[in-house]
Amino acid sequence: MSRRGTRFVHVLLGRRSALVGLVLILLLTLASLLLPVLHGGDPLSGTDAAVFQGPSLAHPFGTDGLGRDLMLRVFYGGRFSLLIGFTSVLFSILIGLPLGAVAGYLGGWPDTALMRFVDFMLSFPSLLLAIVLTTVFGGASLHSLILSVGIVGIPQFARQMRAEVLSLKEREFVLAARSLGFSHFRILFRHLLPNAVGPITVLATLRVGTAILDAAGLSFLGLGVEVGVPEWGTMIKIGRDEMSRSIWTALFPGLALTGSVLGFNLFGDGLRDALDPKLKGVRS
Amino acid sequence: MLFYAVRRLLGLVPLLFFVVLTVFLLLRSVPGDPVRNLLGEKGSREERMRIAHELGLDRSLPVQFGIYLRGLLRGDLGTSYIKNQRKVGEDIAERFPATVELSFCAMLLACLFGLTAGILSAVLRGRWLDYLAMFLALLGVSVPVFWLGLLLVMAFGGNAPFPSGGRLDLGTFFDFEPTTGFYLVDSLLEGNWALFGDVCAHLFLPAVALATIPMAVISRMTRSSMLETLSQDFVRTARAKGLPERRVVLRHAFRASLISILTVLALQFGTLLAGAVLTETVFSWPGLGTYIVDAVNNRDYTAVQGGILVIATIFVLANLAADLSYALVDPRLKKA
Repeated sequence: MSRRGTRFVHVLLGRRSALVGLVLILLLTLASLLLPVLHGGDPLSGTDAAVFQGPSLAHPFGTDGLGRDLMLRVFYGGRFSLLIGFTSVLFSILIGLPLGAVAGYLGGWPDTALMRFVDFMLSFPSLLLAIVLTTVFGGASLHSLILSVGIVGIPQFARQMRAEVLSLKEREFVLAARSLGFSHFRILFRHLLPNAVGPITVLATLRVGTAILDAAGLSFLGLGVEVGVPEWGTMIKIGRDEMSRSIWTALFPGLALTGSVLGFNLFGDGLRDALDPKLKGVRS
Repeated sequence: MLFYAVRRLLGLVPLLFFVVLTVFLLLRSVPGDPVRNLLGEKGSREERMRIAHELGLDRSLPVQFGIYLRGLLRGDLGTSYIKNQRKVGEDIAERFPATVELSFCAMLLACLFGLTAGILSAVLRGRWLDYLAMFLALLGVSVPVFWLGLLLVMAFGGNAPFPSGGRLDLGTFFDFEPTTGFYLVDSLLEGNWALFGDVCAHLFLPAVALATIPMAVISRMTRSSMLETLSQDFVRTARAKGLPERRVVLRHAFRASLISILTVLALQFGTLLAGAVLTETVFSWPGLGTYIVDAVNNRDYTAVQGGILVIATIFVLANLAADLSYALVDPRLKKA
């Protein structure tokens, strides 16, 4: 790693909050990946264990209405929630970045058109737009959920990328590249894009948290994943219906959800501070 | 300034037109046939044709859109497919005050605690109170509103002192004739203090749940804006004049930061109205949010369209208000 890179990681990890965020994300991701495998149980079908148990040694999070182990279900569900978060943001980036880059670079009517589009998308509250989109994509399914949350995120990436390109395109290294006769394509993707990676990464990190939240909200409304997929929002919805029998079925998925969103927010804030030259070396 | 405001306001017309058009087209492309939904599988072909004709669904898309738009210009949001041909506009007018009342109370809470926390954090920068407030603010933007709402319902068991579910106790519900639809106002107009108390009690938990995100955003914004003004020369001058610290902070620094805070408030109010969708569902609040969710689940597209249009309009207006407040502070923006 370059010296600048090492220093960046040093500053980043020196911030306790960023470190906490990173640890939260890693822990939840690892647990979601590994725990269902190690546990060996079936998170989906009912068991003959007692229903609605409180936390115990055998079932650290208790059991749900079908006697299923809640810890297993929460971390199995984490796979879906995290998957939705990551893939939907990836989708927003894949569409939003090129749009913003081209608009900022070319200026003129493509730029005006893009900004009108962005204004337009942002004139809907994001959750409402996502509700309409999931309906259009045929209602509750993992794909329509990812797509809807992904589309809602596009304007933010487009706008950020445009701003980055606008501030970079008159800089000397770009002028130099241009005077060397490089193609627009090469200048955009080899020179401008790498320089915009920092702010885009910050936005993406924060956006994963929002995407997980939005997706869980949609699932809570019954517009998210298919019935039976234990994504966190769906689990909270089920917990709501069983509230009079047990508080644990809603409590634990909510804790996991809050923990992951908090993780992405902490890490995202830390990344932003570490990238901000004004704050370099400041500990908080 | 006035010219700028009017120009921006006129600029909203094409934006809202595209909002209407897009929502219209999106909802027309939804898989599933509203007529079939209405009749179920049993309806005969003739019956289906008749219903489609009544709803105007047998016409071409541009004609349907034209009819809808003409209605809109007269303030008619169309007729519901499902609910006995009810006017969407009337339904929304009935639900709207509930959402506004809830959002308003949530905003009040958010301002009260958000501003206080922000100012204290800035003044006590680096102390434990600052860390605590900023941690809570971070938690506030990370907690799912609907889960927090559920926890609150569980904590109070849905009963007194803070009942959940609806805007009133069922007992009072039947002998109460709302005039404005804003129950706080109505109960005060009637001079009925017991009713007013009941309305407040029902409002409390949903308002707390809904207030978390704006509270967090406002306190973070207030803190950073106050930190900036507190380091400026005029604040040093005020201190040098020997003014008491309290006065320096509240009358000088806070006032100067207030405008940028106001901008955030306007933005948050729009978000709040929209975010009410989840909170209203948790607390069975009969507002616009539950109206839209029900309409989506019933495939009642005129109703979805109407609800979204109303919220989008308010959202856009709130954003415009935020922009205009910027222009008020920053004279460079006035001419732009």
